[in-house]
Amino acid sequence: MGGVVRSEPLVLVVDDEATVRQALERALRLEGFAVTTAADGLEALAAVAQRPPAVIVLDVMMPGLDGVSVVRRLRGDGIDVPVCMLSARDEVEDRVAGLQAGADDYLVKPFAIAELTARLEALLRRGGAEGAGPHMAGDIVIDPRRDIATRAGRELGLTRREFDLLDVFVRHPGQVLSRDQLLSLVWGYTTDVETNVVDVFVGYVRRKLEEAGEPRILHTVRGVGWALRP
Amino acid sequence: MRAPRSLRARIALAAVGAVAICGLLAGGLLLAAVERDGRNQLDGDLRARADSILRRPPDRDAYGHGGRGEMLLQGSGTFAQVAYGNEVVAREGDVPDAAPSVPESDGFETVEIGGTPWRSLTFTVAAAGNPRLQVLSSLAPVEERVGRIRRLVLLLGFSAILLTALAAWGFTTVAVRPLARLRAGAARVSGAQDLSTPLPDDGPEEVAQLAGALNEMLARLGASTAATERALEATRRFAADAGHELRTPLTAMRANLDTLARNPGLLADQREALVADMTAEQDRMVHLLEGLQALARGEAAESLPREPVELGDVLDAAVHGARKRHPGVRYELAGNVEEGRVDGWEDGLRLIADNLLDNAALHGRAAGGSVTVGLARDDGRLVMRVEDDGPGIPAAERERLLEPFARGRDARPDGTGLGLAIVAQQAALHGGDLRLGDSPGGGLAVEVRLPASAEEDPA
Repeated sequence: MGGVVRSEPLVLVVDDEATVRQALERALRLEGFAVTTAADGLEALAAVAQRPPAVIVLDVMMPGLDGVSVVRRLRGDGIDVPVCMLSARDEVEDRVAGLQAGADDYLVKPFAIAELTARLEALLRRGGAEGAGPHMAGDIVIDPRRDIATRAGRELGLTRREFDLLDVFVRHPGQVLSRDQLLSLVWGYTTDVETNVVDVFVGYVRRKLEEAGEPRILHTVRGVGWALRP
Repeated sequence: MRAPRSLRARIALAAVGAVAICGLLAGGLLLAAVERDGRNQLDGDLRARADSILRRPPDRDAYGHGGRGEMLLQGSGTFAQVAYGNEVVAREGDVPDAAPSVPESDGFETVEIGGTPWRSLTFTVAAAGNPRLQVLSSLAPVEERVGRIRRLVLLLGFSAILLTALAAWGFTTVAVRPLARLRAGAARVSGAQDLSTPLPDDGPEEVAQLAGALNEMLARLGASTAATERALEATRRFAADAGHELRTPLTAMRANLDTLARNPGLLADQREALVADMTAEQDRMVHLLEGLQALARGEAAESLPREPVELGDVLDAAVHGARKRHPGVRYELAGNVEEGRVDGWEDGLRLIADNLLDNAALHGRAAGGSVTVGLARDDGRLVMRVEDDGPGIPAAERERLLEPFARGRDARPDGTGLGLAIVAQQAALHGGDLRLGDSPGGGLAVEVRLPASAEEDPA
């Protein structure tokens, strides 16, 4: 598959079902990834501590420590490795909890391997902070170096992915950004990825922007996308 | 006329009606009696007067003006007259202007003179010329007395009706107050959708009984609502669990299929491993489907007719099948297999045996395990017992394993999580139960106890 791979990036596959672990491990190896596996949340945390992976594929529903808790622990420990969650279509609440805890994306089981590799490659491409100093739009201030976003002085408490999304809007004030543009700018996805992850995250960011009763600043442009209008 | 809607108005109206009818009857009877008495007394007076007149022989002179008759009759509202044939020869007393002639016939009668009623007594005097004497007395005093009494009765009657109406209204106002409280309580129940708060059951006996009956109904409704909710919840959970169980093999299969498709240059052994995995996943889905269908059929089996089934035969056939399915496992029949029948469905009993034997193979010792199967009789019950020599299941985890899709900590990927749920369901349908325990070898022992058929005589 596309992309020049320097050395094989390490993927940690976490799923309580042995058959799923085995199938994903084999598939991802053949796609050019190095793979380690974990059968539950605690094993996953241990694996991350032992050998930090480049990206984690994490099942949401597991006995014992579930996927959401794993994300929460990782982010709580300041571990910023990108996480793609695997969930059933009806596990919406767990998925939402996972994304809010700091996971970057999700896939609904069963999924195509092409879909998974596209996400993983995009998540691996995610660059660090672009600009150097703080920048602002209206009453929103973004400081990439300190990973802090505020509105009218109020710290927004964004997750990594929410932060990146708002960062893109603040860099393009007044400009209408489409789903595909945001998928590419924030997630690094090419357009053939089918997901509503942008809609979900715009919702999260918007809620945090308006938490203290502030007026709407991130507006929906029907049929096109969204625009930050300070 | 339609009855008023308010209970209070109805009760007040009924009371007023009853009092009015009683008053009307009593008043009517009283007035009739008073009138009759007055008339009888008057009749007696008339006879006495006639007698006193007759004490002197009737003769023309005696009845002249200023004579005895005048003395006797003047100012008493009474007069007398004597006639020979049609000729009235004497007329004495308070004679009205339009005095009538003496009637032909004897006896008492009531006559109308100048618009007022008079009582009259006529008879023929036993004397020469057959004179006829008529004595008359005005009925006006009697009428007047009756009128007075009638006015009194009416006055009393209306007062009684008024009092009754007021009393009934006041009393029912107090009496329906508990009903109003009951209504407020019922409104609270339906407003808050809360079936658990009982209605107030104080107040008079009838209202308390009504409240009691309503509370009983609420309790039953609450219980059935809770049962429905539990059943719905169980169904939802079951559907979610079934979905999850299907999703797992589907996910692995899709990954393996994609791997095959995306890597045309795979080595033969890699390809074989993939195909073997996918076959296993497909098997697992088929098993899951069969388990789900068995559970669904079990629900429906309750309506099927029962027949006596020889349990030993079922077990025998099941062991035979299990030996073929699990060639690596040694199935042994314990020495004393009881003869005994169970009233039930042969397919269901076979499901019990099959699932127990498969379970023992899947969760018993990993390689070269041995499974002991026994059938014993215990107090009118047939006890099917299957023991394995595997690692067993901790006592705390056993209860949970009876739930559909509950799987042990180290569950085998080829288990469906439905086996024990199917066994428990069938055991319950046959009036029996399922117990998990320890086998002598440290493995799991599963016992299904089923009531023996009543037809057979215990040996």
